[in-house]
Amino acid sequence: MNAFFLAVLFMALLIIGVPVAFSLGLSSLIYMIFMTDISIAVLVQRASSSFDSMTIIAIPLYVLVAELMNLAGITDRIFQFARNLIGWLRGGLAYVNIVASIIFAGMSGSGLADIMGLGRVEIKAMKDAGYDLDFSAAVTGSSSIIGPIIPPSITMILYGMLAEQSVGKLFIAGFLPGLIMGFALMVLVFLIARKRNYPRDPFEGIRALLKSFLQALLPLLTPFIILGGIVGGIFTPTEAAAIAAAYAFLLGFLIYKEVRLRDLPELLGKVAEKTAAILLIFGMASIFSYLVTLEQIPEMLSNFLVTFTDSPVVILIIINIFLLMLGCFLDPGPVIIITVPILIPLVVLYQIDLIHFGVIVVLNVMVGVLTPPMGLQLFALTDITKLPFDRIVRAIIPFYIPLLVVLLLCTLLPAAVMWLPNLLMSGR
Amino acid sequence: MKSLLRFSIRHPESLISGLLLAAIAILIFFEVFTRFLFGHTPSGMEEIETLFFIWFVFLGSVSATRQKGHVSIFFFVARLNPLLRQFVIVVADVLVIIFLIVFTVYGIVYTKREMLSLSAILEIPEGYFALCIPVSAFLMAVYSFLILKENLGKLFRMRKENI
Repeated sequence: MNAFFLAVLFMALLIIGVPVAFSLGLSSLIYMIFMTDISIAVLVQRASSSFDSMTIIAIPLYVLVAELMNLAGITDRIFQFARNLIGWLRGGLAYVNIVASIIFAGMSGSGLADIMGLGRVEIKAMKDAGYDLDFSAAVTGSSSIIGPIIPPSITMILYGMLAEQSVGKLFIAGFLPGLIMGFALMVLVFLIARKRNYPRDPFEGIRALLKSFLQALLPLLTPFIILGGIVGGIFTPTEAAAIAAAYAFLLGFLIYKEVRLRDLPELLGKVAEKTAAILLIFGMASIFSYLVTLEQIPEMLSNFLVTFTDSPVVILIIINIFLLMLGCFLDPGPVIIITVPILIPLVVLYQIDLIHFGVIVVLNVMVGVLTPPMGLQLFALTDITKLPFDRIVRAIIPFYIPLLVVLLLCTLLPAAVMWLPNLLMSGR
Repeated sequence: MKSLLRFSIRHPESLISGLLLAAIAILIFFEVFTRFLFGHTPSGMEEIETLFFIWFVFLGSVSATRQKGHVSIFFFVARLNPLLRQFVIVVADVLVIIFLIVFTVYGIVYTKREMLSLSAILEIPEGYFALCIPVSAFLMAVYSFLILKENLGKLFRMRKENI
């Protein structure tokens, strides 16, 4: 009954528009006052101690990397390289869009950074080449969610912290599903491009391809620095983020000369504002999770579901549906922060691997950013294309098919997720 | 230079939290660098990074409050009639302010208590870590109050015009 009160209170505050961070804090506060003997000082103590970790510092640093890459014009170089590489296929710019997102995903952990940086370049190029704006927006939006699936990934860091799992292993586990997702999107693009007879770029020749490759070479090294460092045991994910940030800054400032020192305070302030809002939710959720655990809500949920099924696959599918529904209303960060502490005991009970589960959670919440009414990526696309929200939603509907197929594949076939981390990081 | 000055005056919390982030990145980079060069890192670096980070989060949250950048669900409120919608927005603002006032008060209590204990390596008073909570909660309450004032004014105008 007490647990029910806490949940209803939280939901009620969310529904009347109280920000997620304060809904978590306020519902915990009211609950503590009326339902427990716990001192309110615990509320402050929990919020403060939740940041006493080096792993969580990686989150703003990866956002900083993405912002620096965008400011340094690195996105243009990646796009040009992808265009010379694959733009000569029918509907080539749509493939370029996906390939560029996959490359950018190896440098940035944020899907929104993909849309706001690379997306602008991609949509403009597609529009100039005669593609429908709706289709361009749909390809850009659906490929942008690969960003947080292929490492590095901000959402995976959050999951790793909450589930107490190796962030490095999670990063590696996301690699293959991200590539499969890119491939699945390309299959759909192939079918649509043939049907609508979309244009193709002329092949510029090996020399142009090589030139654009060399121009993009230094940024292309970023994923190798990040992943090589983590897999090789040279850096922690947080250190890799700081190294990548320094590398992106040096590229933009010294080599490409696109980053000016006077741009930095505003850029840093923007990163602070963006990430602090999510991190505050993390802090407030630690109080909420404490109460949830105290009231044994995860155990109650597990006991309830155990009476229905003993199949891990059925449980994963139920969780998928639940997370996808939640994703329609909430951003990835809050969904992960609120649900993971509740779901982990259930997942452990069903003996599901927590790294495998982490990738499934991230896939779900990333599809969520593309679903109405509150899809974060959809709003960003509306902002860039100036198309009405409902037109973007309509255009993106066919793209749900490959994304959901990949989600289902990764749910049913753990090897698709676990093969690479088991190969590269077994025993860690 | 002018634009930097303008940004510093308009967004002091953004500027400070942004600089804290830059400092964290530099410190971690330095840590890795010294480990490669000398095989070990200066002790206590992690404590400084954590101190900077907690201030970064809470000051950044102040900035997000000022810019109305906190994540919230507006889907249900947007479906209400305009007058009721504005009323609900005001109620939500009031609730946020109440929470932030409680957070400020208990933040002061917690900080005072934490001033008595020292961090493990550098022996910095733990209160320096905790201090960001009352400071930022107070600033968030102030900005939330300004937002409430704006929303209340709008509500009264709407009632007058009978929307």
